[in-house]
This record gives sequence, structure tokens and C-alpha cells, in this order.
Amino acid sequence: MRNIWRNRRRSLLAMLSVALASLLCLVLQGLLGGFQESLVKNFTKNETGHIRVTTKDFADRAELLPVDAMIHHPDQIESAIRTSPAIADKVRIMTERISFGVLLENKGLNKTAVALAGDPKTEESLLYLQRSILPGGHYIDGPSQTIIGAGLAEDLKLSVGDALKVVSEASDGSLQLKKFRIVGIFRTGVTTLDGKIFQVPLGDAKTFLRTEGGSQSIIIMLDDYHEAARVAALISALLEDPTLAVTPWTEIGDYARLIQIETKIFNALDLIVMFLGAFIITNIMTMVVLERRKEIGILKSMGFARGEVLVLFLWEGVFLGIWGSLIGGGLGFLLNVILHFRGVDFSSYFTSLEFPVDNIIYWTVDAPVAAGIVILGCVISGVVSIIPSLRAARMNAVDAIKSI
Amino acid sequence: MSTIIRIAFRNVIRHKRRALITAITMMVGIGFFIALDSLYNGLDRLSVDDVINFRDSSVKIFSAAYDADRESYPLDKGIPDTTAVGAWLEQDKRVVAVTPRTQFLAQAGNNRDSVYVIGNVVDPVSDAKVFLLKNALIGGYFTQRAGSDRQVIVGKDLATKLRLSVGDTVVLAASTRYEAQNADDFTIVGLLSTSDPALNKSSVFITYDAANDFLDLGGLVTEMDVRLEPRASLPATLADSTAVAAATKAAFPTLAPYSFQDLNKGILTVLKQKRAWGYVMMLFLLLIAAVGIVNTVLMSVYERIREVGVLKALGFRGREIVRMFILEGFFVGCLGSLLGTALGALINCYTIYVGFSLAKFGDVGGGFVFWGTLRGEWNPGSIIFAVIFGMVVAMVAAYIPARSAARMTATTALRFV
Amino acid sequence: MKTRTPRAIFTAALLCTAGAGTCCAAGLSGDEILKRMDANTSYRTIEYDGTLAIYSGDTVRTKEMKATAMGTSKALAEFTNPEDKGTKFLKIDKNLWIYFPSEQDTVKISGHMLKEGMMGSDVSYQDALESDDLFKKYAVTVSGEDTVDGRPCYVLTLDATVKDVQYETRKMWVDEERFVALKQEMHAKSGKLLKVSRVLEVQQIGDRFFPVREEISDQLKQGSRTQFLMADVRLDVPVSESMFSLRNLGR
Repeated sequence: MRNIWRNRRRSLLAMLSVALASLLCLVLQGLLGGFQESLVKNFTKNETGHIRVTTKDFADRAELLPVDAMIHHPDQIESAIRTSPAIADKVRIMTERISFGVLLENKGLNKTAVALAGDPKTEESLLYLQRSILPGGHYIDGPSQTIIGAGLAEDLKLSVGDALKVVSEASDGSLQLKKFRIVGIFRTGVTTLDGKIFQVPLGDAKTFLRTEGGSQSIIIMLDDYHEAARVAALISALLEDPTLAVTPWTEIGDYARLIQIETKIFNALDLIVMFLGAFIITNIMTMVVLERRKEIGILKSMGFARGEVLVLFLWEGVFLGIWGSLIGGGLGFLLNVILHFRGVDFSSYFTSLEFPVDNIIYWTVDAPVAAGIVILGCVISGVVSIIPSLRAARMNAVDAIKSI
Repeated sequence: MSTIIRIAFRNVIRHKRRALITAITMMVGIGFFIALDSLYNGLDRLSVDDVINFRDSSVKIFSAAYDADRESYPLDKGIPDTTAVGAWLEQDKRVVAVTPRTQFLAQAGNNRDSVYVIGNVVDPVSDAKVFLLKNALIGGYFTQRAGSDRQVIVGKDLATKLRLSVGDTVVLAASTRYEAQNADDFTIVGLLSTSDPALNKSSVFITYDAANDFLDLGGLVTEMDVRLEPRASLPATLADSTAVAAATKAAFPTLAPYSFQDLNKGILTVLKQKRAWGYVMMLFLLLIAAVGIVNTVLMSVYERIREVGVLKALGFRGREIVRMFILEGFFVGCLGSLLGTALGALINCYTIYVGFSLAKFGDVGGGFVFWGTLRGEWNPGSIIFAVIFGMVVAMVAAYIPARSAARMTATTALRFV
Repeated sequence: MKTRTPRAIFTAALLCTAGAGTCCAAGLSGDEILKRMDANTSYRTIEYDGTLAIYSGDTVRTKEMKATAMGTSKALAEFTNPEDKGTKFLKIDKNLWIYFPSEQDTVKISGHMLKEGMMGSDVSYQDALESDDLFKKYAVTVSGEDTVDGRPCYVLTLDATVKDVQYETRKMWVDEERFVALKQEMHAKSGKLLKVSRVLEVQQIGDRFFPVREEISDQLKQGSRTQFLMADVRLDVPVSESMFSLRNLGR
């Protein structure tokens, strides 16, 4: 013990370095988790959410955007979910959506398009189209308002303040027209969105399509997207309705695969960084022992046996390692927790992108992983201290003292 | 000054082990930084290549009249003299091959259900020189059997939806060039499985031979696609595309050529964003490497404070001593950077010239076929950045303790433990 | 598909009145048969109460309307079924306008939009708005005789003589007595059967036979058919031209 305190600076330096390495590794874990969460969210928020509740009929014909396959009482489903203790606190956002194909007309020009109807307030954190609104317009703040893509506006020669004439087939098969007032034009930079999509309030869509309160889908975003399949099964069991389909994002569409690939890449990169961290710790420990050759000599000349020297150094190495890992791991964990609740907005790095994605990253907190990193740090420190300690023990006392 | 340099150098040699440890830390950090950066570029490149190879080619040319009405896939307003355009393009050294295509709206059905699809008329021979459909096919490509020109390649997901497979008959219904309704049986020769869901879900491909009869096409060509010589880096690829498109426009004012960037702003935007996240990761890499470097340098300086006392006693001034340590840092930094660059280059050589065959990623569920190779890209900019970073950190790490050491009086230093 | 030629050719066809099934059919050419069919179905003006039933698998949607038309260039239909009540379609030549009472506004439908099926039925706007001039675009031959629903019929084969026709080949089973096409087959260039049309009910109005219930089925989509029924048909009644105007729609 005294050896350690005698050379405070060196010990402190070593401990600090181990701590920093552990801290960085842990914070990176949290960041990566946050990245992945953001990635999944951005891929799923527009169409499927983490979990999507629809009728089975709709699920079979989803690409046709049918308006005659509605969930009749979405409010009942929502309250059932909200009052179920096992499920309610896993849900972060739950909202109704209707997407339907329409024919637009202006001054004799026609264009087919797709309307996205949702609760405007909730869609501010899902569709994010408010972020892409061009100057001169504003987001939806009342009924019968709409924001349209810049491509649509161009093709139909529409501007802010104009009326948008929307023709669509309603749930009862009748042909309906509704005029919306264009309050904003958005440009996301993605041609498929800008040229085909416009957003309207859910209430207007329900009236227009004569759904009698029904909705096409209920989109659910969870706190932890990994649980999607499990929670979907729970919801399915809760609702006990064979006409409904409760589908997790992993089972809809192609993006699930792409995200899995991204995840694999992230994991590989993560491993590299961890490896580097371990390498650093190795280096530090090695140096610690090397620097103390002289002490070894002195100890030996004082009569310490080989075995005792070995144990001494080993113990010191492990001690430093444990403390370093604990401190670093602890601080890292704390940092992750803070950043989990606070989140960091990376939007400023992406100023050129009007792409409607969520750029606020919330670090993920994972206790087992944190513990794992701490233990790993200790183990590495221990293992790495063995060889130099052995060599120290075997050193000739005179040689040791002579070395600088 | 030269004395200091010599002393610094010899000090480094004398403390070989310490220097080596520091250098190795730098090597790993810098090496991986370079390799990762190269791989990131490679990943971006893959996404872009996919689009070029399967959907948009490097330059897509329409007639201006067709371009204005593209949304409705009209079967007129084609490119008038495709031979002239093709010949002009092919004498540009950057152009590898050119192929004609025509798009049409159709419905594909199995006599029970039908689905709206986009039909693509292709010339099987020249199309294979520009696009790489052959590499993403389950089944086979078009064959030249006489009398069986009613062959079709359909997207894999489309076939699944219609419950059809290779060898089955699909009914294509479309309007001919003269707006007559036509429908015919086509035999599926291959299923297309790419990374583009739109292609897999709603595309069919037939030959010009078939279309001239089926659609009364009369050889109408609505677009021409161009394959350019591959370039080593993504920016160069994009630049070529823009240049050739512009040159085509200048030579043929009635045409509307599109570069890759024109057609795919969305993809490039998303790539940029993913890249930004990648930079954050690499920052962590550098931070950890910095920790390692600082630590080892600090430790070695502190170990030698006694030497400082000796040097001062010998008459060296504080400033010279600091310079000596910084120089030591510099030498170690050089070594580390050299090793790091070497390691990075080595890994790069593997990734760039051999690459990771993505087939190994295999079936990521649902029969998604991966093909192609993930390759790295040389990026001298990031190599230089990493090297400079490492050297600066090494030198700064040496400077700080050196300064406080140099300020000590000789006697204090000598007594240091 | 009914043929509606503006020029009602009242030649020898008029001589063959309704009950006179003794017209020596043996010598009739395809063209003559067509002319007699045409005499039955062409009108200057028409008014009727129509019902459109769209069958798609197990589901059926019914639309009811009151329609008025002047030749084939002008038509006005107002829907009377509860869901679409008050919605009006106005066709003038190749343009279509739809008036919606809920918003008291009109939408114009143009160009290629019209190629899609009207409200999911098997009748595309094009089918409804543009009629193939059979005389000008097809060569007609009598290919035989057959029986449809117990009625003896001439079988006519129509082969397109120009490229811009809807259907390359048509086959018609024309009632030998009443000169109404009881069954029609529409074939594609490839020979594939695309649509089949059946006349299920024929009404005698004055001295002509007018098909009032017709069913069209899409042969490429299983279970997909559309029925159209015309009730209270009044032909050549006085109709004012001003009715076919946008101004009138708004009322």
C-alpha cells in the first residue's frame, strides 16, 4: 500500500488514465446506443412506428392505402393500452394516423398525391415536417390547414395562402372533395416526400373520409425499441381481437434489414474502440511497472523474496486498475444518465440538411454493460500486470538499481 | 540547438521501451483512425454504387419534352436520334457504355389480382454493359432463344406478392403507344433482388423485341443511361457524372441529361448525415488514443525529473531543457505517426484491394441478397490529419510537465523522487 | 360497349321494325348489321335514372344517378345515392368536371387521369367518354351464328384497321331479331380476352330496342365486374344546351 502512495503522482496518473479510458468507452456505449435508437426512430416514425396497430385487412393491402379498412374505435384501444400497467410505461408516444391517396387539382392541373393525417402537435415530434417549412409559411395550427411539399406546389403552381382541392374516395365509397388552406410549403430535399406528400390534421381527414371516428393505424413509439416484438405480443394479447394486426417494426418493410446492417457496423466499430481502450490500459500498466525497476532492486536488496515482490507488484497493479475502472466506470455511468435525460442536439452539425429527422441523441444507460466495462478494466489491469511483475520479481537487484 | 537535438535523440534511444510503448499507442490509434475513415468512405460508396448500378446509372438522359411530362410515363417524346447521341457519348474517354431504355405504366397480374408496376424496356445486350441486373438475379437473365421474346424479369417482392416464381407466367396489361389496351402472357426468367425496395416491389423488365410488338413501340427510346469509368473516390465519381451531363447538354440542347447528384439529392443528404455520426465515433477513437499518449509521455517525463536537475547543474537553461523534452516528444511522435500510418496503410491495402465480400453478411433475414464488396478509399486528408494530431498531442504532452520541471531549481529536481 | 355515333344513319335499318324478325338475315353484311344496331342505340338526347353496381370480390358498391346527355359530346349526371348525394359529373367533349355540394366547388379532371377506372369500376373514364367509332376503325365480318340466352344471334368479328383503338379485336353477338349486341368480347392485340360485356335487359322504346341493363367484367381480375342499369329511359326529349355548363353545375 505504502508503495502506491509514495509515488503519488505516478499512481495517480496511472489511475487517471485507466479511469479516462473506462469513462470514454462507457460514454461511447451510451452514445452508440443513442445513435441506434435515433436511427430506428427516424426510419420508423414516418410509416410504421415501433409498433403499428391496424386491421388485418389493412395490413394485407397496405401499399394501396385503403380507406375502407379502418379501426373503428381507436380511442378504446388507446385507453386499453394506457390503463394496462405492464404496457403503459413502456410507451412513449401513441398516436393515430391515416394515409390516403388523393387527386389534387388546381387551375386545371391534376396530380396524384398522398395525404398524411395525424395530430399536428404529436406529429411535430414524429414527422418533423415543421422543421422543413420554407420561410413565408408556418406549421399547421388549426383545422382545414395543410402544409404541402415543394414539388407539389411547383407542379400545381400553388403558393402559401392558396386553397388545395383534394379529391378522394371515402370509406363509404363516395367521392369527396375538401379544400384546405395552404399555410406552409416544406422542402425536405427528398424528392419522394416533396413531390408527393402533404400533411393535414387528423380530425379533418376523419370527417372528409367519413370514417366515423375510425383510423387506419395507431402508431406507437416505445422507450426502448428493442422491446418492440415483446410489447407487440403483449398488446395483441390485451386486445384479444382477431381482426387486428399488432406488428412490430421489424416485421414491416425493408428498413429493418438495413438497420440491422447499420447495427452490425456500429458494433464492429464499437469493438475497435473498446480494444483500443484495453490496449491503452495495457500500456499504462506496463509502464507503471517498468518505471519502478529501481524500487524493485531496492526491495530485493532489502531481502524481499521473489514471490513477495511478485505479489506486491501484482497487487499494486490490480489495485490501481480496480480503482481506475471503478472511478471511470462510475463517472461514465453518471454521465450517461445525465445525457440520457438531457440529450444532446446534434442538429447544429447538420445545418445543411432539412431532412426531417430527429437529431437529438439520448444516451442509453445500460447497467450490465457498465459493470462489464469496469470488470473488464480490472481484469485487463490485473492480467497485464502479471508479466512485468514476474520480470520484476526475477530481476537481479543490482541490475534493477542501475537502470534508470 | 543541435546539441539539444542530439541529446533529445539519444534520450529517446536510451529509453527505448518507453518510447516504443508511446509509439505503439499512437500507432494503434492513428492506424485505426485511418482505416475506419477509409471504410466509411467505402460504405458511402457502396450505397451510391448500388443506385448507379441498378437504377440511375451515372448519367440519365431524356428528351426535354419527355422530361417535362415524365410523371405520366408517356409513350412518345422519345429521344430522336439515339445513334448520334450514343456515338457522341462513346467517344468521351470517361464513358464506358451507353444503353437505351423505355418506361411504361402497366399492371402485372396472375389472373386473380393485379398490381400497378413500372415497366422497363431494355436491350438485353447493351443494358448489361451499363447496369448490373445480372448480379442481382435469382433465376436467369434474358436469353436469345428465337420466338420466345415474351420474357420478363420481375422484382422479387412483386413475384412474392403475386405468388409467382421463375418459370411462371405473369400477365402484363398496358396501353400501347397508340393507347390501345393490350395484355399478354410473359414468362418470368428471373427475379430481381436489389437493395432498392422500389425495384423489388414494382418493377418489371422486358426486351425491346417484345415491347415493339406488345406496346407497338416502334423502337421508341425515352431515356439513355450511361456508365462511366470507375473512379477511386466518391467525390471524383460525382464530379465526372456532373461533367458528362453538362457536356451532353451543351452538345445536344434539346436533351435533358441528369447527373447522379441531380437525381439523388436525398441519398447524398442522408449519407452526409450518417458520416457526421461516423466522425463523432472517430473522435472518441482519437480521444482514447490521446489519453494513452498523454499518459505515457507524462509518466516518462516525471520519471526523469532528476535528469533535469543534472542538466541544470551542468548549465543548461530552462528553455533549452523544455525544448529537449519537446523534441523527444517530437521524435516519439514521428515514430508513432510513421508506425500508425504504416498500420493504417496496411489495413487500407487489404480493404481497398481485397475488400470485404458482402456475401458473407449473407441472409439478413427475409432472403435479402447482398452482393458486392465493401472497399475502403484512400483519403490523404484524413491521414495527414491523424498524423498531425498524434504529433501535436505527443509534443504538448511533453511540454507541460517539462515546463514545470524546467522551472525547478537544480537542487529541488535532484531530490525528486 | 354501346356505340354512340352522333350521326344516326337512318337508312335501310329503319325499315326493319321491331317485330319483323323475318328480315332475310342471310344476306346481311357486317356493316349493315352494325348500322341497324346503331339505329337502335343512337339518340339526339337521352334522360334516364341510372344505377351503377361495382362488384369487387365479395363487396359491392352501388351508385344511383339521374343523367342527361346530348349525343356523345355532352353529358350531365347527378348522383342520388345517399353517400354521393348532390355530386355532379359534367362532360363536355373530352373534358370532365366534378361538382361537390359539400364544398360548393368544382374539380376538373384532365388527360391521363382519365385512364384510371371510374371509382374503382371496370369502366374507365376513357371508356365512358371516348367511344371508338366502330365504322371508321374496324373492318366488320359476319363470322357465323350462335345463341345467347336462347336468342339466335349473328356473330360479328371486328378487326381494327388503325392503331389507335381501344381494343384490337372485338367479337359481337348481335340479336338477329332486335339488333342489340347481347354479348361483346374485347380482345387485346395479343388475342388475350380483356373484357366481356353482356346485355341483360332490353327495353322497347318506340320502335327501337334499347339495352338498359349491361354488365362488364374485367377478365384479368377475378371477381371484378360492373353492372349498369338504366331506368325510365326517355330518348330524344327536349333538352336545353345551357344545362351543360359550369355555371349550371354550381346551382
